[in-house]
Amino acid sequence: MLGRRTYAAIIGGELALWVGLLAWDVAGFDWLRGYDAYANWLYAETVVDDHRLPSTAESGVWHSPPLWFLLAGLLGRAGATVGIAPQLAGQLLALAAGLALLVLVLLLARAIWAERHVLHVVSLGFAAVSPVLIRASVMYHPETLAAALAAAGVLIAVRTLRSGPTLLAGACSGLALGLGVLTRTWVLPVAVAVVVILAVGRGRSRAWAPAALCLVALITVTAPWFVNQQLAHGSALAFNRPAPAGSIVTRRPASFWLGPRALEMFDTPHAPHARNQLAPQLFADWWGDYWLVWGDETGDAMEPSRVRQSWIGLLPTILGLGGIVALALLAVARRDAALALLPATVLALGGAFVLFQLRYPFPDGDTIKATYLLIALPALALGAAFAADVLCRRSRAVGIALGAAAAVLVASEIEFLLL
Amino acid sequence: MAGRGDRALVAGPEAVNEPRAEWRAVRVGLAVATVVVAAQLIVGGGYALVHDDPTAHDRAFACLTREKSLAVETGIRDPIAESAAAGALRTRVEGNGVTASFSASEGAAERLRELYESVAELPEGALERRGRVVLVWEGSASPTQRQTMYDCVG
Repeated sequence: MLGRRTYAAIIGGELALWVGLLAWDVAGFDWLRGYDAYANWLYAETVVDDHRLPSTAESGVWHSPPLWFLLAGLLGRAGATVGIAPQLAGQLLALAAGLALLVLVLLLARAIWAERHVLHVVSLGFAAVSPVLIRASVMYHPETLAAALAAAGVLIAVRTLRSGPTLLAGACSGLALGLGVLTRTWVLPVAVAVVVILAVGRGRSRAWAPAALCLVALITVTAPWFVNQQLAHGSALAFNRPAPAGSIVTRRPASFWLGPRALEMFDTPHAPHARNQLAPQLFADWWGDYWLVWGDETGDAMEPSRVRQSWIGLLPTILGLGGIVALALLAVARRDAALALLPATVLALGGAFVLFQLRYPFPDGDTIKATYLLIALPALALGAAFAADVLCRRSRAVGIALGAAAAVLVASEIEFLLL
Repeated sequence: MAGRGDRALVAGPEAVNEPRAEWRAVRVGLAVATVVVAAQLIVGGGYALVHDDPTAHDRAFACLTREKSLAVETGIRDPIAESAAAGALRTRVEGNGVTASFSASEGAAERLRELYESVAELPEGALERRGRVVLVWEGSASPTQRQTMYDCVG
């Protein structure tokens, strides 16, 4: 356990460093290089100017829920009055949501392991230097807001499971998750996992009410959106490209699952290498920049950094995945519903992601993006921090080795992340 | 209010922190994660051993034809492109013709770019080098036309 002042200084330093890094990156990042940037901007303009959702012809991201676009559009209008470009206002919204996500990671760690300061510091550090969060936080894109709202819903659920379910907490959790779904549909599987865990983890008393209220709040907030999609586009989960005909089982070749070109991610970790190979493409995009939106546009100067990122990503990937498995085992052994929320959200999101990949198997691999899984970042950060903390407690030598590795990793990460 | 039985199910942090149980769970978790990562690397290593790496030219050809559904020619009547050591190809993106020449090194590609610059009067933004590839467009390329080629030449 760290001293109170040391603990506060490290946490404050981590957050301040992140904000400084991101402020620099936002200034140097061309907003048009972000995913679907122009389509996102058209969506925000339509919502704010015409007070309606865009048609399929007006924005390529018409299938996305409207909350972030409404906020970005309104902020853009407000920013224009003081000379801030509307796109920059949207980027700052994404950055603020990224910062909120980091704070929520810290609060989650404190809610589950109140006294384990090292675990708090490591979980915050893991999330802060994850390239997938940094890239999403400088784009004109809704991903970070969705992840922050999902994390808020999970945090409320964790707290209520720890202290005893209350109606207010159930409703607030449902509200946060519902707003998350209104930002990105990827929050939906996480919301379902939270409702299920709240229901089964209520204890022996008949405390169904908080879970039921969570579900009611979720449905109330999201129903208008899904009903609109069903009526306007024929499916509540409509997407901007049609799914091919035939069984979804045969839509992906074996190479999608096996990733035979995985080693290319340690040589040329970007498109078009290993395209449409699930694990290699996700890994390169999470720890580096598979779609070449970061750094110089020709991609030459950043290549050594991208390759280094792939090597750097191995240890935290093993810690993160291993930590999630460990938390799942402990949650089952202890029948600890609050702890089970973390692996449950990863499992639900991962399952939804794989189903989406099977339903929409596009040859350009465009739907395999690590940012779609940003919502899993809090659980992975906590899993990695938990594993690292247990290893450090087990052996002082391992603790020193992990600390040294972390210092090297963070230094290298910052070199890649600073534009 | 939570009863006695509830407290047994809704465990507190004290129960979760039990060191031996945590160490066992982390050991299993890390073993599972290591096996998964190692298996992926072994599959990749095995594949690399028995398959030749496609060249950048082959990769771009496959990408443009299969993923972008574009018609691609490899027989090009352009002496500069023909001189590229790693091949060349030509296609048309959103109505704009483009020739991609693949060199063995970035230096060679830069020399190819300079050669184009010295012998042809090209519109603004019609000539660019991207790593070992030189792209020559018929007219100024739009961002979406460029992106289509970037997606395939890397």
